[in-house]
Amino acid sequence: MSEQTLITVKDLSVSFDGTPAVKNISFTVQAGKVLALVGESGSGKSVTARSLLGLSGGTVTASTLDICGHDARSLSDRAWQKIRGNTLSLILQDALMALDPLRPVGREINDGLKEHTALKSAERKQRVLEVLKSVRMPEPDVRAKQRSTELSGGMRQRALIAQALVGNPQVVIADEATTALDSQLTALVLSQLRALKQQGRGILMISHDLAQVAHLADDIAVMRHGEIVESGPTQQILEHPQHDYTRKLLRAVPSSVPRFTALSDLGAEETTSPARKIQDSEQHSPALSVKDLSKSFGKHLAVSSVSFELPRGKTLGIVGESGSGKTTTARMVLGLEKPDSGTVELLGERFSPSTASQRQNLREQMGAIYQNPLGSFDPRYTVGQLLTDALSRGKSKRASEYRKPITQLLEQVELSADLLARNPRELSGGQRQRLAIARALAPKPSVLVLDEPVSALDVSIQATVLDLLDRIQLETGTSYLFISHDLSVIEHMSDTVAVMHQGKLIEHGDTASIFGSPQREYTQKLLSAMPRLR
Amino acid sequence: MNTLAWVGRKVGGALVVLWLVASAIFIAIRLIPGDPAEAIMGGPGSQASAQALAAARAEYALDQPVITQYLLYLGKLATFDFGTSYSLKQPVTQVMGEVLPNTLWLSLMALAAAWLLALCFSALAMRAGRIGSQVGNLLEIIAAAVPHFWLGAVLIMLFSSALGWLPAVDNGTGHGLVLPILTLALPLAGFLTQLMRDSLSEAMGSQFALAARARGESRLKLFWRHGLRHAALPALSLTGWAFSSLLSGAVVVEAIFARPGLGRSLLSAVLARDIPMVTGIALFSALVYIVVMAISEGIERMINPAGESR
Amino acid sequence: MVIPLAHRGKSLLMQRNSRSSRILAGAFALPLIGALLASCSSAGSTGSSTQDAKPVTGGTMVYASGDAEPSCLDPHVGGNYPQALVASQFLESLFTKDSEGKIIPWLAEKTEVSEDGLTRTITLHDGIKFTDGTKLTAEAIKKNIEHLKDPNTASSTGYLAVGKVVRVEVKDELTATLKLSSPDNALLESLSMPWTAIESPKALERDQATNCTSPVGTGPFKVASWEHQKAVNLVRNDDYVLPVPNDQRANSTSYLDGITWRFIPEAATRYAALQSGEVDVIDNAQPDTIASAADAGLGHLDAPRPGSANRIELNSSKAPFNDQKVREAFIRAVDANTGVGALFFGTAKRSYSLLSSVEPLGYSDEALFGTDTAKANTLLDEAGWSERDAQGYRTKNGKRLSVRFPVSTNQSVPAEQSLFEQFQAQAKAVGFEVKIDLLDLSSWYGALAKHEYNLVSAPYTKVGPSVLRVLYHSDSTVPAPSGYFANNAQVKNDKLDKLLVQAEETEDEAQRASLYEQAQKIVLEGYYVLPLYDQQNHFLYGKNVHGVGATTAVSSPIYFDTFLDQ
Repeated sequence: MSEQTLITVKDLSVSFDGTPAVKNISFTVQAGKVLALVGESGSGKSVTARSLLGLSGGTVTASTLDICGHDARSLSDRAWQKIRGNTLSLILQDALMALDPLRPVGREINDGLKEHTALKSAERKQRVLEVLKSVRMPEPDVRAKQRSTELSGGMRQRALIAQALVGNPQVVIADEATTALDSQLTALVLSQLRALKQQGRGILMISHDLAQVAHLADDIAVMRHGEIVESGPTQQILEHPQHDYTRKLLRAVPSSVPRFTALSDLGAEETTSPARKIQDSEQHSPALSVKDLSKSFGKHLAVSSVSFELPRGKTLGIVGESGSGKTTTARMVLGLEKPDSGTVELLGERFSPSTASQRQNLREQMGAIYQNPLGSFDPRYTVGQLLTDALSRGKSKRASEYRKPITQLLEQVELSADLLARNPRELSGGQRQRLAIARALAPKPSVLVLDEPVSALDVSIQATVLDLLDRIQLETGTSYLFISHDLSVIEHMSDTVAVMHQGKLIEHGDTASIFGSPQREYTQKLLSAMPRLR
Repeated sequence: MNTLAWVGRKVGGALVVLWLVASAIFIAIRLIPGDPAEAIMGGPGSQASAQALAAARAEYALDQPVITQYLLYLGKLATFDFGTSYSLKQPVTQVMGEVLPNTLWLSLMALAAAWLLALCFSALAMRAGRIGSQVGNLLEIIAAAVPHFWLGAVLIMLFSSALGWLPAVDNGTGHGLVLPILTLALPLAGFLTQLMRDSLSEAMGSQFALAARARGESRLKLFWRHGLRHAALPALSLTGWAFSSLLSGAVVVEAIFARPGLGRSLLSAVLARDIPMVTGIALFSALVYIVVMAISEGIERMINPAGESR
Repeated sequence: MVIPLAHRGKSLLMQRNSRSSRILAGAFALPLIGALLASCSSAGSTGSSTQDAKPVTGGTMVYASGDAEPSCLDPHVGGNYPQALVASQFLESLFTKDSEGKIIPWLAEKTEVSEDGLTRTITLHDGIKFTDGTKLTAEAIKKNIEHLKDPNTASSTGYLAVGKVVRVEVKDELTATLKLSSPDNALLESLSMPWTAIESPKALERDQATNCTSPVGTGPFKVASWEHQKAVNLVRNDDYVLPVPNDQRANSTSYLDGITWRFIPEAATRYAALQSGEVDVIDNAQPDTIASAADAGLGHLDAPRPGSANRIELNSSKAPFNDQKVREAFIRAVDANTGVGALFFGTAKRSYSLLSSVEPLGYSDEALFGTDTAKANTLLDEAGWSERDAQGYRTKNGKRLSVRFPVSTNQSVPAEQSLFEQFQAQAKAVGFEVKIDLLDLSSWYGALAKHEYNLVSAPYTKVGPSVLRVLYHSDSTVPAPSGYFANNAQVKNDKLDKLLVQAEETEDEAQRASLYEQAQKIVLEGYYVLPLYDQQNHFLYGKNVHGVGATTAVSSPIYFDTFLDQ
């Protein structure tokens, strides 16, 4: 079963209405080995994966497209249906949406059996339970009757993997299977895929995250604009990248990159001991001081007695999984939620959400940046209007008055002035996030709260935004409260780190200590799951 | 929350709504000009003597203060005593009981027909190209906007007078039901199709649809196993409203097609200022609405216990 | 009597001419002479193959009425035209009208009145039975009139009709004497209407709810069952006896096995059902369908109702119509002839009389009603309405010449509503502001009761010229406890009052005619009324239906001679 080529692709091209999305790519998938297709959004990697299943929706041409002995260039619909799920199967990104929320997961898995086997109902049930056990689903008989919305994140992932395995496929395609998952779940999926690899199946991993694929993939192919710009064994790609783009990608991964070392060309000039424009933090009160913050929603204790300090001009990274309470904490800091108990002090002053006017003044000292900026922009406003609105703070709205500050802001975030008349919808993800930063900086705040600011961005774009944030901190001395689930980003961006788990802040210290010698068991577990590139 | 608590909540809510509706009717009717005693005695222009009118007032407690009348009214309603119809001189519950099955039957059949039509149109729309989709959209909007009285008259002219395929009024065979059902069902179907189509195309393009196809499902199976459920969901939650709109559409349709039913009774009762009849039918409609809403919510809960709207 | 001409159907507009023919009236009425036919100059039934077909026994005819279903089948209760239409099949009256419009005895055999006019004796035919087996005796007359006068019955029409009867005494088995409060030469006419028809006294003893569902009479049919909102099912009365025997009818039971009496209020549906053969006869036929009926081979019966003509009355009790000049100006301003001709497509003939054309004593003067806009303008100037406001309406002392016209959508079919709208436009041209309010029946009555009208169209169906007293005697301006009054024109003229009272009390036919003529002249020349046309009463029937034409004194058809193709 080793070294057997399961899928051979030569000169594959896929186009939609005449526009090419994939141009003449070639690769092979072998039994017992993992090929990672790495690229950013628009690279054509997902289209490639789907065309292997005949589900791309576009026009597919290839000189060779061999899938386990079938010539996939000329398969009929029925023939395709026989192959899908049986010979090769697909694991999608979001388990919540990849399983029909209206149907029990057991039924979804059962469907695969119905399609490809002649087993009777009782036998199928048995098989479903077996598959669920094989992915280590706890209480499989109970879970099989539940819908994806009723399951926890981990169980959902397992169910998702289970439904791809039930047909006993030779090839498994994992399309961004770990994107937007926290590290525990990512580790879960990766270990499952490793198990599949050991069983002798061929794995095609689609990802934009080099760090994640680094340990699992045997071979890597880097895609860009529909072409494979470089491919080869993993070690070779990581250590001796030939193509510029590959090098750029590698550089952009924040894993193990020291603080203030640029990830992209946008980074600050100086990379070592940067001159930070901050006062001696001991003489002034910390930018943020949070004491014993607690909040419950009904019976659920979201945040329990959280305390930390954010020194001026520094970055505090808060890391935790989904449900750890980090977002709720951020909201309380911003004054959007009233804490049940505890205090928030901003620049030494009590920041109590009950006095709206006081809040208004202090708000100007705080800015916020979210994961999805588009939702926070008024859809009617253009870029120029948004910035004017932020600068004017409710007073005069005449754009002309603010031309100079607007230009400055745009320069600060490296956005071209041509974009002033555009609507944010027309901007790319990276541009939007930079616009959000510009808007947040307009009132020159002392503190910026950033809640998963780069999680939705491609790696190279993420690199530019992180570099930009660093540069701004160096230039203006703004303090950052940086929240993320991505450990490598936190490690790269933070001066101090706080780890949250189930509403409690379980460990807090400077970055090096936390990442180098974690004290608490949970932190250790968390860090062990962190994929490292270097 | 568990089923028992849910049922309890529904019942409690229903009682409150019914009480509010009953009170609203009480007030509204008293605002209509005209002497109820006259209506009792056979309508305006009757030759009722002053004594007869006074006797009628006393019998129906119309000479009591308003509060007393209100309390008597509520008391009677609580025992399901809707009183005696002014014009028909029979107990309201009896009259309603005679004609109710017709209206219910008509509405239910129309509801089923509308659903069936909507599902077919949605499925068809799935396969339509861009132009087909636009045309379909336009047709749906027109269907939903067309008033019952116009549609009924046009259907009669077309299928009864011109083509002679279907009878205009009920002639004993089931054929007499076709045109009234169509008249009620088409506008509703137009509306439901709009809803279903969106949900359906969203579902068919979703991640789980892709996953299902990746498992080897054909498009048809995809539609049956996944698409239908998602398409039906918004329509289901509106079924309560849809049914009650059918009931009110029945007023017009029963008049046009000369079918016995609650709608027709309501029409004559309003014209004759027959207060007990109007009250009885209005309250009953409110009750039906509440019950149907509860049932459709129950069905929704069964299909979608998490309360997801997708 | 108040006839809420309840629920006529609505019409679409189309066209054509009805071919009335007296041929049928003659050919078919001959066998029935001495029996029943409400005739008038334009009444008559047209239909193909009516003369050639040979009567066949059997079959159930389906009748579809455009009126609202009555709440009670006993026409004693309330008393409206829909009740009369159906009751004419199973109830009979003491008297009826012959083909010349003369009142003749029917259930009664003979009648005479005392010198002083206060005692009316009626003798019945022998051997007539009610469908419950009881015999028709003088006791029935007594019981029926008492039933009409009993407040519990809630009779309006019948009650008024026997208003002058104080009590009834039974002299012998077949003879009854009616004691009157004052001479009433309209009594026989009143007793010829379905609303005073004779029901079985035994049946009348039942509670009203039961009697309402199946009144018992002597007619050619009887009520088998009543499915509310669906149909009244009539079946042949196998024991029927023609009160006045007839050589042409060998056995005197109906040809039809029964009649299914349905209610289809929507005009288009009703006509469609007739065309497709689902129903055999319809009433309330609209002008457009009458026109196309001839082409479709359908039969047509045109039977104008007795009593008043269909007219517009002007409220003379308040401004601006309290000034006769203004009344005449309005009447001169509008062009009824063109409107009636166009909107009714010749199915309605213009009338210049207060009375229906089936009333022999009707008087008309066409010259009074010629359209003359110049004269209208002059009159208005003379009456002081010489100024005009910005919108072109006349004003006097700052007040606009504005009149309200509540129109009942029940009684006024769309063609009539359009006619009124034409009048509104024509009146505007000379400076009147006419506000038309389309109202449902109850609201319309309410508006009238509150005197919130200057113009109104309120037809009144009654047999005989005594309707003039109901409509134009000053007593009729006094409202009933319900607020209703019949004298919409608010005519209060002493001379007229005396004429009307006298006309009802004299036994001299010639004097009666003369008195009524003088009375009508006063009203017409006072420009209180704008006569339009007869109360329209059109029936259409299918090709398979024959023998339609006989009607009662109130112009409701009787289907005794009707038969269907088998």
